[in-house]
Amino acid sequence: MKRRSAIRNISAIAAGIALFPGCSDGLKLSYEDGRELTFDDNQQVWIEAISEAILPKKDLTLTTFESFPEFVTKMISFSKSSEDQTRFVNGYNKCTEDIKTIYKTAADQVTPEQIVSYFEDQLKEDVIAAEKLDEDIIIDNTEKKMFCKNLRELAIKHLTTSKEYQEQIKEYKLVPGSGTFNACVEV
Amino acid sequence: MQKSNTYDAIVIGAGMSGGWSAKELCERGLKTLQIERGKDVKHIKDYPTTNLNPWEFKHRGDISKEVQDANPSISRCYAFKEDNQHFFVKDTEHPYIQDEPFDWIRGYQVGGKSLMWARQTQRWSDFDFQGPERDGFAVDWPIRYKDLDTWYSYVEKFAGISGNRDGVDTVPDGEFLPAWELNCVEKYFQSSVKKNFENRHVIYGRCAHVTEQQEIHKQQGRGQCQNRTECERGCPFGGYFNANSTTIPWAAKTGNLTLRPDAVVHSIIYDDKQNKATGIRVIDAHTLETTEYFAKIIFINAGAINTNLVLLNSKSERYPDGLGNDSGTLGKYVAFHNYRARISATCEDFSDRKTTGKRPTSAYIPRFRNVYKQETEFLRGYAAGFSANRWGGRSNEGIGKELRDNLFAEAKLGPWRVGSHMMGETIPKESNYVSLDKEKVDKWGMPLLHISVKYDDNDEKMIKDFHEQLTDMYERAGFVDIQLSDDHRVPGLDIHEMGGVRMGRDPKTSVLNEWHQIHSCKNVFITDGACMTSTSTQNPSLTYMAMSARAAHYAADALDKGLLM
Repeated sequence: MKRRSAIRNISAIAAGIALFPGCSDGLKLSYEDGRELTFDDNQQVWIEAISEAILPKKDLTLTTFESFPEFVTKMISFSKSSEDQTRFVNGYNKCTEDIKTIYKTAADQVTPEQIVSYFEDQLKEDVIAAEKLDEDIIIDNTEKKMFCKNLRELAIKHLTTSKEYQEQIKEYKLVPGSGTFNACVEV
Repeated sequence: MQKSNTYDAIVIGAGMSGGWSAKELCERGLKTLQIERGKDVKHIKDYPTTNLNPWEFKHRGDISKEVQDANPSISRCYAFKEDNQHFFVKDTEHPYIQDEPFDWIRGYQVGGKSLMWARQTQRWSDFDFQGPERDGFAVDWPIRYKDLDTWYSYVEKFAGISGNRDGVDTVPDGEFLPAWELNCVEKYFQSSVKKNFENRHVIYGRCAHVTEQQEIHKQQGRGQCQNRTECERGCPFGGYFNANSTTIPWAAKTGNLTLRPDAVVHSIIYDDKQNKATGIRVIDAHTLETTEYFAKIIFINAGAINTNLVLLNSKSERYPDGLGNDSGTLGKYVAFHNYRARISATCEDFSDRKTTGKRPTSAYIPRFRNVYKQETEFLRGYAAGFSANRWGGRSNEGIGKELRDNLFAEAKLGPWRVGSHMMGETIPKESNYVSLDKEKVDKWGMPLLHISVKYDDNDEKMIKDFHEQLTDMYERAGFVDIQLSDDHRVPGLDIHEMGGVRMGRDPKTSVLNEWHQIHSCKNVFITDGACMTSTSTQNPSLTYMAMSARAAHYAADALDKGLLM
């Protein structure tokens, strides 16, 4: 399937959805060993805004297990050590504070361009040698970069593992059928 | 009690080889009890993920950090993912003692590891069976290729093996279903190797897939492979061979099979007065209750290392060091396959060609070192895989609109990438062994197993040679950007552990005779990887299948003649 028709088909399924319904108790996942990650409503709005800025997909209907904030919570809890989970949450807090401070605005007013600009800065290689920075700044930078890097990776994963992306862009079939392997075809 | 627990035959283990033992014994009319320490897994019904799409996996295929940290050995296995983690034994649930680092990959369930195996099925040849005698290591195999030839054919027809008749003497041809085609780069490499090297070959990797359904597969209820390449989840079409879809239901159909899952075999009961084994002691996996079962013959197919464990734990006045251990070799001469080395490169030609669809195998380079004569400083040799792929990829660079545009862009074909992995023979040594801990026991009261197995200088030299020889083969094919690697994996990850209960001609230096019987206790047969005198280079499952069928028929014949009463 050609790229443009694939995009059109995905877009045509629905005119957009609210990916992140409010949750008054916050979004919390608990695991048997006592680990917990919680994002309250306000934090979820931030994650939604950031996610939409770094990988716009509001106009797409994506069949996934869960909303993006739920996915973030689940995957960070699932795949990171307790220390890395803490760093991720600290990174989140520091990044959102940074954005608020730099752009003097609230979560629902920050523009996608501002978030993209902030993320681009965070994802750049360090220009100042670490030994010239205070230890606190190094920790701050590490946590912020980790948050930005992880959130970007998760945004990509959430999109690319959706039913629509798999079927229409990756042309995935669970049962390709016998005789579907062609050893040599012209490009 | 004894009467109701008495059978003609007992088979310990319901995996790759145990399935074959049970099938053959049942078909010969023997009331057979098959014991499996893990849960039952019914074909299709108990493949919970087999029909799930990628977006239906909660964690998109990932394994949790917690599980990875707690189970480092299985987490290093290529096949251990969210979609089939339920088929793998967790390191923590079944501990063992690594005197030397060893990643023991296990599948405790009906079907065993036949559910998750790589399905490569190359026959052994006399170059393999004659190896120890010619090269002066281990002991001489008591069998040769002619002893297994017809049994290879027998199991191949039933299992369904896809392959080409290549006429290569190191991997004899068999009874093949049609092969998938090699792609243009694989064919090119095949011709380049043929042109540039004497006695080196690149062939299609024969595999246990039904590529053309035969009458026997219809009777088994198995269909043609649908090119899903999700085999390790269990196949709803029965497209590849596993015990669950094939041998065990076939055995059950005879009405002679009693399958008893969730039963841990503690030991073999040996009767000093009758000079034979009379049964087994079994611990219920859940209630821990002990039960004894009795039979005229016992096949042990518990998986190579666990077969060693059962025998070592079967102590009696006659056998204080483990059943059949007159030679003192039980548990020793354990060997495996050396999978550490890899090579990859780029093929700059064929840029106007690509493949479409998926195929569950690739090409295979049979062993070419030290085949006809000793030509290197190291003993024996290696086989190798070979595959060529051209991936269509999308950039995930950028952020915002740029990132989205990249992810939705037309996939760009990269260059052809080629690669090979080494499958090296390791030399069985007395110093590579398994043994029982004198004090520590597991939840079922079984002594914990010590595993002390490691590489040696021969393996290091072989890795160096693999890199040199494959580099030469790749360079002569014009491949560029050649990358060599040694992942330094510890033994075990090849999942081809063998030996410890080796076959041999002399009872003073081996445990089993040419019919897989314990030399001094002839109603006990071992036909899984534990029986292997040497490892050669081929993936071993096909050989276990042929050995199991052969030994089971011998046992049934011997019973008929009253030789094992």
